[in-house]
Amino acid sequence: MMVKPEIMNRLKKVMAQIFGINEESINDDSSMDNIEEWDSLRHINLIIALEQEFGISFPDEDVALLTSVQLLAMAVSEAAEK
Amino acid sequence: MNDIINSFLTKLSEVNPPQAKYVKSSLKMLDNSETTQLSEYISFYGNGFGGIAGVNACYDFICKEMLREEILFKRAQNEKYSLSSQEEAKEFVYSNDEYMKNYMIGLGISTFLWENHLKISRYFKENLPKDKCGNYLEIGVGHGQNFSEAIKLCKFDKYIGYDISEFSLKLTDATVKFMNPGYENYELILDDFTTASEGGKYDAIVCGEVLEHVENPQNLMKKIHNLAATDAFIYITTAVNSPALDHVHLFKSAEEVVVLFNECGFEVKSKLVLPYAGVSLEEAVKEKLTLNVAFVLNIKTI
Repeated sequence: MMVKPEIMNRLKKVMAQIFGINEESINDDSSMDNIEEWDSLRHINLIIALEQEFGISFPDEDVALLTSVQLLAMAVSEAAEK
Repeated sequence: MNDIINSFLTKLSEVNPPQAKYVKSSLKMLDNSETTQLSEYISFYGNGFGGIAGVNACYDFICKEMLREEILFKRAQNEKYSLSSQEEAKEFVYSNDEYMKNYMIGLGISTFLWENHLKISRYFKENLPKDKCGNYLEIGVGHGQNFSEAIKLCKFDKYIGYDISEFSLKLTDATVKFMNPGYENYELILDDFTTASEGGKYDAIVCGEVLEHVENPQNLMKKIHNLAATDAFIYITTAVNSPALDHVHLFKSAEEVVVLFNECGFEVKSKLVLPYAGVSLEEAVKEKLTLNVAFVLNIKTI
């Protein structure tokens, strides 16, 4: 599934706010593995913030697994289409 | 680094890289004896449950499960846990051997890797009365580590342990045999302690991470009060704002827990209040984040 640029931009903006970092430092390969500030507490806040930003609800069984920009972008796109 | 721990970490980095990064850092908290003990537990659990890969899978499971529950809790504005009854918890958790295996072994490993769990484990061992005699009762033995440590460190004449989960009892039994080879003065009872008929007086009563699993913690504490000798060592731990699939009673503050103790005839002798790791106590209270709390209680003197 292609992720719309608008979704990716909004996603990265929310991530930057939650992590307290520059939006420019978040790229398509960013993940919990390479963003120092992306810990479990901020992951929780990120999921909630994205649900509010996009008016969606991620499936419960997926929320702990969405640990990269790519995975989040796909999940947001899928949820937004429903 | 110890070979076994190194293998555990290598495997974890394949299945859960962010958690592997966290674990590598948290290992620095352990002293030499704790490092050895972690290594022994990984081997011990691995022997029964699929080697280091199996232990890894359990730990990975509990990490993801806790994160999922925290997100569900946050969606509910930190006002409600997923389940609200012991019956539901029994159906979804305690009767589910596969879930219990992942849960208990994952939690067992977390004793060494999660800062708050490690600190509470140390607090327990520091406060255990090493020379007291008589009978020791533990309600909710879980993975069995506390029960086994008590047998190892103390001089009680008999140790009785209750749990609602058959898997927990089997794991506890194996852990006792592993940590205290040849020791036989203990009994493990499969029952829901809140409804079990238990009499007599105990010189030590330990109830770790149970209050948040029962619908009526007051009834449980009153039962403990009735069973405690006047000078009993009473040790209780619980969690505030701490979602897990089988947590049904939501404590919203440490103060609420202390009030419960007072109402049931106890006074607090000492306590340990630990905020969500990496966060100050003030911020944890303000943001309604998890507090792990441990208490040594006395029977209130009139």
